[in-house]
Amino acid sequence: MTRIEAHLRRRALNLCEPVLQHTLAACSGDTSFPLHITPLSFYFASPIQVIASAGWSWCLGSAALGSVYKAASLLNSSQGNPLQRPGPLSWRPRGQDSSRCFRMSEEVEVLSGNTLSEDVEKVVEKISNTTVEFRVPRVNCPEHIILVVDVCHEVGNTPYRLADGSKFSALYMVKRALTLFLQNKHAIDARHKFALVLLHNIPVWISDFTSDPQKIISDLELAEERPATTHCDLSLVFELIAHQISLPKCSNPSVVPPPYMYRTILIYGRSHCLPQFLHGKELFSHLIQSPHFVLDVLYTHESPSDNNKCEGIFDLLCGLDEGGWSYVLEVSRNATKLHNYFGTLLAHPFQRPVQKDLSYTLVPKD
Amino acid sequence: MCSRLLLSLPRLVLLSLLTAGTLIPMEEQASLNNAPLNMFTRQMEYMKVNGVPGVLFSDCAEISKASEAQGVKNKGDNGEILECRPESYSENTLLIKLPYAGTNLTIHLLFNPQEPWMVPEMTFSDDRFTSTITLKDLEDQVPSLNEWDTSTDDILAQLVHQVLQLYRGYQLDRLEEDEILQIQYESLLKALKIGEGDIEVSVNSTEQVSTTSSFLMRLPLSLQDVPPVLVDANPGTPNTFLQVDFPRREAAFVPKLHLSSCVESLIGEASSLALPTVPPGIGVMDYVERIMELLEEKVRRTILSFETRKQFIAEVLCQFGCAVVEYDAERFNKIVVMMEVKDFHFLAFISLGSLFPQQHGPRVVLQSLYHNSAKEPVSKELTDLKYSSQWKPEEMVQHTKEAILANISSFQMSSIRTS
Repeated sequence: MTRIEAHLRRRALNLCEPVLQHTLAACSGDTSFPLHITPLSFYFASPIQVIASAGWSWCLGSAALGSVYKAASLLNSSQGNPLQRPGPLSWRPRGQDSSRCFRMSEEVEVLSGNTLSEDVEKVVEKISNTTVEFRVPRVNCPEHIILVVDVCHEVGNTPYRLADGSKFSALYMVKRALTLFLQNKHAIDARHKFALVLLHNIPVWISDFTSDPQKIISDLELAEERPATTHCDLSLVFELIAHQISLPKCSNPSVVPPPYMYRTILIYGRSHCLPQFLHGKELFSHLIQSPHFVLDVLYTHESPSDNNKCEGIFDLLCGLDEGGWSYVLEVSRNATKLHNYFGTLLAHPFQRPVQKDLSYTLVPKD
Repeated sequence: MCSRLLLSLPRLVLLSLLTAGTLIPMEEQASLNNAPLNMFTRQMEYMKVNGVPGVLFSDCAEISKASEAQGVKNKGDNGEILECRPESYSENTLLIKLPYAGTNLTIHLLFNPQEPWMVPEMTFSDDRFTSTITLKDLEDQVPSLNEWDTSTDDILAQLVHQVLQLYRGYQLDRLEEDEILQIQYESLLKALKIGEGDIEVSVNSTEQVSTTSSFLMRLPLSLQDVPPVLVDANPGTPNTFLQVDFPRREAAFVPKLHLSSCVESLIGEASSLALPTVPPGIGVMDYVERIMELLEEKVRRTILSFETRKQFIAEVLCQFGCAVVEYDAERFNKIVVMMEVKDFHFLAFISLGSLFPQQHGPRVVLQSLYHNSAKEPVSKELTDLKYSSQWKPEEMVQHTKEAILANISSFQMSSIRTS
């Protein structure tokens, strides 16, 4: 392993740290080792303290790590023109950006007597144009998960057909997949809690927060399909949630992990009814702006066609992801995919990758 | 058997000397008469919250009313069990039981039921100690008796602390009568670089009868390099005590280790730590140094385990960052990732624990997203995982990955059969 790789692995340790400070200082004259990374880690350090001592604090997402590897390896192989710096190269957290990469501080200057190689220039430019999204520490605090399950059954809904020929209604299949979700989530961390809301013409709070998944599973078993309604008012859903929960108060949410966080998983099952905010979005906006409230959506629907509004509904549901933190998933009548997506939803919002970066394939080493 | 203190002095003179500063309004006197010991509830609570000053085993100190500690059950005429009415003596007595150097010193505070605000009479469970105390000792070293104020929350704590200092001096005086123990004591202070407040001595040998003498010392085990998240996981002060009993002059001493819960959570329970046998002729100081080496090695292993766990988790995140479900971001004991092999998705629970990497490798459990039985998803623990504590984290992760790949087909088949 080269020294660069050793340093980058140490940098990977930063993925485990809630607040990090990295100072990069160039080693002059050493073309094989242009970057000297000195990782310093703070456990829940005050950001003021961190900023005062070194200037910057940031949290590196896994997506950005690949860029660091590539940049460092290219710089490592560059000939004769190391990145020479008069002072520390530092990383500053930027505003919200869905790409969730990292951005160089404006103070970065590349000083060299000769022109950098083209490859290095491209990487430096790429690094310069990416931004880091930093909101909360990547700590697995307990989740309080609100499951909002749509129980509407629309006329003409097709069932799930399994390989053995058996058929099951959409709600039945959601219940089965949710059961596994609850059991797996409880196995991951018994501190997580769950609440159940059934959505018909109005949302109804069925089960209050409990860490016993069996309680939710039992209540879920009793839920019955109801005839479809002509409208779905999302205002009522988030009004109900806002009145049932109490968002944790943190003086510095970007550094201090909360004692718990809330996640709402909306499982919407209609293909002809557009979900809308018929009574305003104020409470929804209040919830969604909190770094300790995350909304995920799983849309189960008929096969998209001209006879339904699946695509429009999906667009609307995607619009609920205002900050880029949500998972918005959609599945037609594919039981395996439904269960896979509930697996995807197991991921802790503070530690999971952004949706576009998800990749589960385990490839054997050739 | 307890003996009354200072019976040779006129009681009136003693009380006037010791209660000069105590004034209670008349109306309060009347109400206090009805609750002779209840007035000390605040003082008792103060000691429970702040600890008993002057003893190493502060958590083991007990404060109780004698009526609670000495309730006697008798059988009634028809055979039923009756609670015996406590003696009037017990109603007005506070018992303060203090662990000291492997034994106990109990202080009995007897209050006057008519004048409970007056300074109490004191008796001790150690008769010989009682017999050595003079009035001058009390005046010089237990000034709280002269400044007795029942409205002060820490008045009992002050009294206990001062009495303990008196007791400590008494034991050190006795220590001087035993040259060998004295040398052991002084060498311990010097070698461990601890103060006299960190060691308690109980000397019990007499010319006629030799019984066990004991040292109880606070070992200077440093936890400064231990990650704060591990230390803070358990409440309380991280204390490490070694008790050394000297049963007979010629016999080897017997060591006993006492660890606070905070330290036990880091290095294991005291009962599970195998103390080295005491070689004949070894001095206490040399033996204690061996104990310190053992404990410091345990702390180093705890730190190493933590750092290795962190590196392992980081390596898993490096390789599977886009599939991470959840991981322990404080103690790095566990990580869960979701994986897919030939369109078959599953969860992999990877647990580490405090014995990783020295004693065992990661524990890997595959868990189903599709099939469950009874109350939990179908799962399978990998038992053929190759492991070596000498491997670097990336090698460990690589072998973990290979083991998962090797088992995924059988897991897939078994989960279908089991559900």
